Amino acid sequence: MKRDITPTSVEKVMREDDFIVSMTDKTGRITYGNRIFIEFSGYSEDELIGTQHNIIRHPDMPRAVFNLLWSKISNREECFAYVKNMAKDGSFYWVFTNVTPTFDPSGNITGYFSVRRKPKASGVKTASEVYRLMLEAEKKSRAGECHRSFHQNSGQHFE
Amino acid sequence: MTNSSLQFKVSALMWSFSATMAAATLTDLALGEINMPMVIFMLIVIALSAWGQWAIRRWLAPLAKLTVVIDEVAQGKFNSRVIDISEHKDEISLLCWSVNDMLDQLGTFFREQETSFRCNSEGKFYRQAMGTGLHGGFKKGLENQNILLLGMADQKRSAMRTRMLSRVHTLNTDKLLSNLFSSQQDMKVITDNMERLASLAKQTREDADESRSSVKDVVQRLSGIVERRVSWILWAACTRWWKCWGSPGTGMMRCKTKYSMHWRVPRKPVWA
Repeated sequence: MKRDITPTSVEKVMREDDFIVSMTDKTGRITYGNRIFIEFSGYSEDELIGTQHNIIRHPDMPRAVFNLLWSKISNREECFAYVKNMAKDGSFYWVFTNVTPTFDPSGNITGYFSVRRKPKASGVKTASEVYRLMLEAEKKSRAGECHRSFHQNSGQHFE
Repeated sequence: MTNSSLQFKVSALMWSFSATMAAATLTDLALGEINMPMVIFMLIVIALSAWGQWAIRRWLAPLAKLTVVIDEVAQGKFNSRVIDISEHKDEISLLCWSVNDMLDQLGTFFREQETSFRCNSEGKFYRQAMGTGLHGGFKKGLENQNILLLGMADQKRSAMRTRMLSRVHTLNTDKLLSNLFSSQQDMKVITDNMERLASLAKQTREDADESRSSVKDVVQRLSGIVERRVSWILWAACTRWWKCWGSPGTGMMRCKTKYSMHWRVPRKPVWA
């Protein structure tokens, strides 16, 4: 998100047998990424560890999805989502991600653990259509009205 | 410090090698020959051994982190990983990555297991454990667990159904009892009313009997009165006739048009 990377139309496809694992701290900074994560994101381990997780966020993803994700996991629930990620070179890859909070022995959240698996093709198709509409709505409301109506619109699309 | 024994051995090896070279050069020196190439080689060897020891320490450093991570796993904490692994793809780096991969599999397995069991106990039977991306025994373990979860879900559902049916049955029985009770009440009221009705009817019959006998009485009395009056009339008429036509020498008699006890009659009738 912070870098100026132009998204390309090159797609990387995940393999059925592997999953991407990444761990973050409470604020969303990456504390670990497995080799598959390094391979798909195009960044080196040094570039990943300590940076915010949203460096792999693709501009085609509506913000509402991440708002929902954060609200669920900070509420100690798990979250499943179809997510489109962007690599360092601008290529993208679709994942079916599952984020769960990590607890310490006394039950406080110490970080988050995400597993990203190969998504179903039908799921990707549906999700990309929904996200396209959501993104249009977000852009419209961001351009025209005030901040308050943007939140209302994104709240509606949760259903 | 954890690599001290290994590093110590390597250092000892290095330094012994250097010492041998130094000894060779010094022997030459003692024998009176100064062999410049030898001296240079000796210096190179010493430099190499010094650098080698520093390099070895750096290459063996990940082993310390690895030990920490694996100790935590032995304590049941699956969330630590080895980070800052060098990119040189040497044996130790590969070992560290293998341990990370293993812990990813292990950690995901346990998280999926915990989540699916917890959701099952909360009645969210749709949350099965996801085995995609897991390998071999980990995947098999979750698949078997899902079969178990399906069985548990079936049991829970039939238990919930049974409980609901028995609650409905209790509700039904309660309603039935209260309905029966109110019917019983109604029956009692009806019976009481019937009893009252019967007693009223009896009363009416008794009253009717009584009135019939009174009527009979009245009729008797009336007929008695009528008889008396009729016979009195006849007697009065007879005596009058006697007075008027029958008995001579009575003179003028007093005729009354009305019955009265003031008639002067010679004789009172027997039945008056």
